[in-house]
Amino acid sequence: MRDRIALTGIGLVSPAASSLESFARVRGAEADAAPVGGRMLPLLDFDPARYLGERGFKYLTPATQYALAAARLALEDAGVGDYYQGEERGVVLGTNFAVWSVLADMDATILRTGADQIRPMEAANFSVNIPASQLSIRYGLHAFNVTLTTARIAGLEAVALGAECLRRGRARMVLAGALEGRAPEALQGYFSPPIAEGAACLMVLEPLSAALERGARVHGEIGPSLFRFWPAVLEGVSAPAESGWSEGMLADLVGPGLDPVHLFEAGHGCPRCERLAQIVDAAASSAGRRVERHVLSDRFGECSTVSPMMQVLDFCLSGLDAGLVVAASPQGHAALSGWLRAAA
Amino acid sequence: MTARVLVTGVGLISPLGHSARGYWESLLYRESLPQEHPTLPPALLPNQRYYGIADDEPAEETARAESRATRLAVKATGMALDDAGLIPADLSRTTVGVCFGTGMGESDRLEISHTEAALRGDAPSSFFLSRIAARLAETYGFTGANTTLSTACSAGSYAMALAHERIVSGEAEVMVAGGSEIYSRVGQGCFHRLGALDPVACRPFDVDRKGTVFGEGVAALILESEEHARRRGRRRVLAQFEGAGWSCDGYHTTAPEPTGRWIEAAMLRALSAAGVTPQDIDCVLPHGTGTSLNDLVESQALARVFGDRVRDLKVSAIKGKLGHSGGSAGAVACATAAMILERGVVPPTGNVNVVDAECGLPIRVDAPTPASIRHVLVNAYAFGGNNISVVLGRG
Repeated sequence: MRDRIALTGIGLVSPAASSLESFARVRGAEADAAPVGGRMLPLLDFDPARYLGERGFKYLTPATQYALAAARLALEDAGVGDYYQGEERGVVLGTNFAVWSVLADMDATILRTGADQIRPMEAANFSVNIPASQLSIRYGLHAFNVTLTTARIAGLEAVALGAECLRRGRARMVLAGALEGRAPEALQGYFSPPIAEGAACLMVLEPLSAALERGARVHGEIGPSLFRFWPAVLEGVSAPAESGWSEGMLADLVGPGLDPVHLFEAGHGCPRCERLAQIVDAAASSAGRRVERHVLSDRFGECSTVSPMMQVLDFCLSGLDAGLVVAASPQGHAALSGWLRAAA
Repeated sequence: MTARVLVTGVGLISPLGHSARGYWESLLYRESLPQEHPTLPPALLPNQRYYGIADDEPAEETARAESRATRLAVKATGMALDDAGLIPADLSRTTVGVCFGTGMGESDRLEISHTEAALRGDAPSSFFLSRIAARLAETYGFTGANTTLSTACSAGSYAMALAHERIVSGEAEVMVAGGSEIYSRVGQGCFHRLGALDPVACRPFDVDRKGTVFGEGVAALILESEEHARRRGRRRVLAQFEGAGWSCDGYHTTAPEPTGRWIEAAMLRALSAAGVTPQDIDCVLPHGTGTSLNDLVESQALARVFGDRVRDLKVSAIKGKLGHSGGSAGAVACATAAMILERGVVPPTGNVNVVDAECGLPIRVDAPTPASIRHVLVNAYAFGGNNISVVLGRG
């Protein structure tokens, strides 16, 4: 029996919602309130000083600021305080575009006026692991610090890796999730909702037994997950069975008896994600089960690795017993991430 | 009993050549220095010195179609599969995953798009750091989990560790693990601005070291469960991947935590995970970047972990001849460790004239050292204090 891992804290910074409460409000809003595509969704009301104090954030990239704010919200939500020592606390983040615009700006500086015009205080910001590093510095997370950059699914990978690290005893608490800065404009149009300027969604993970022992509120429990690289399958060129997919895998992910299977889809119009959902649908039908799909409002925008994390929040607020978050990347990555309702 | 995870093949493309064999010969016997690669006026980028991979295809031309970081990773993976005696077509019933480390990914394509009009016809898939790993899985038909790690200069070792775990947990039977890093104008510019580049060469643990020097590097290793290797009748095994220890300084974005307590913790955790003691380690491949404080702090931590035994260790700082290949460096070091274990020879350290007495490490600079090596400890550290130590043993 694998150790059970609980989600006990959530921190969100995004264009449409920067708290679990506002997320719940927007989630329940009418679908026709969605913004028109073609324009980047800004984080209008993000005030770094509110989360990070008046000083000390000037040289941090926007994505780092979002991550630090989301981490603070998640840690406060978990009420974890100093319950765990620094060496017991790790961090795993997923991101695709934390430094995309930073690199573009720095390169423009080098080409126009020279590398000597890069400010030394900002020079380290070219490295995509700096947001996660800043979390360890500010919040004393010393067990480990890992940044994953797999296209779109890195946040879900981060949560799965964080859970695995807890099971292996590498840490007793993990801050896991995803963050994004400004993405390339060219992504606009591939996805149906507008691209978000940036966002971060971080989660506090602990062994369920420890969470219950300290009286923590449990938002949800991490179930099994499946990660595959299926470009041909997601293009419909080859059958999933050729890549090792079987109906039994669905039962492993959501439990044998659950009907209907609740699918939380982070597709945003990506045809590969739609295809992945159809594969799960077909497997459920073969097993005599229905699939109920849950799609989040376009008002949250498309935000790469953060979008699947928002599906997790959607599940946590749904009150359902079990759900499966589905995400795919334009490159062909497929992720199926199982979640269970909070333990009593 | 945890399943044994074996290294059964290595592919390497480095400033020392386009093959693992050529790499090994050069690492043992050839001198290697960084070269100037002036693509910008010095007024814009004063230091453009690095250890480059000699390429037979014009960089700018081919980068429009495919990044060198990706093209070379696909090539190195082909070499590793060949070295392991694996034919991709025979692996259709095997779950083969990929874990690759990179800091800057396809930086050549990104930087071309800044100097010229944006690359035409780019699909959304081009914008992600994970395109290197994705393309090599696509090329060889690997459908297992495909993960890209970007823990800066320790990413290559983290990729190895994660690949190891995927096999131990049963998620995959075979993993391609490695790293790919090519020259990045932004990376070079930022290191220059941080005053972190040595104007001469990468001189790890040298008394006159003045910083690091970038080096391009691509490494692909085949990790395989012992059961899978046995089933296919594989006799030749380079090494066993025995365990890894992780930690984070949580101290500063660029400077190491000066007491070295967290890198010491990573080493001790790696020894524990591998089930060995300091007495069992015969060889250390340190992170050794040539940066003044980093090399000193690492030396002091090694002295604490190994005590008096540190003088008996065979220590080889391979970045002297290779430069620092960032997100690939840990994978290059693990590949080197596997070769050391298989061949029983420890390479000398290049470009070191006088070993810093304060570091006190037994570094041999003149010639290779034949030695019976039981276990190798490989260290990799990074910006933000993202530390990892890895232990490899005999296959």
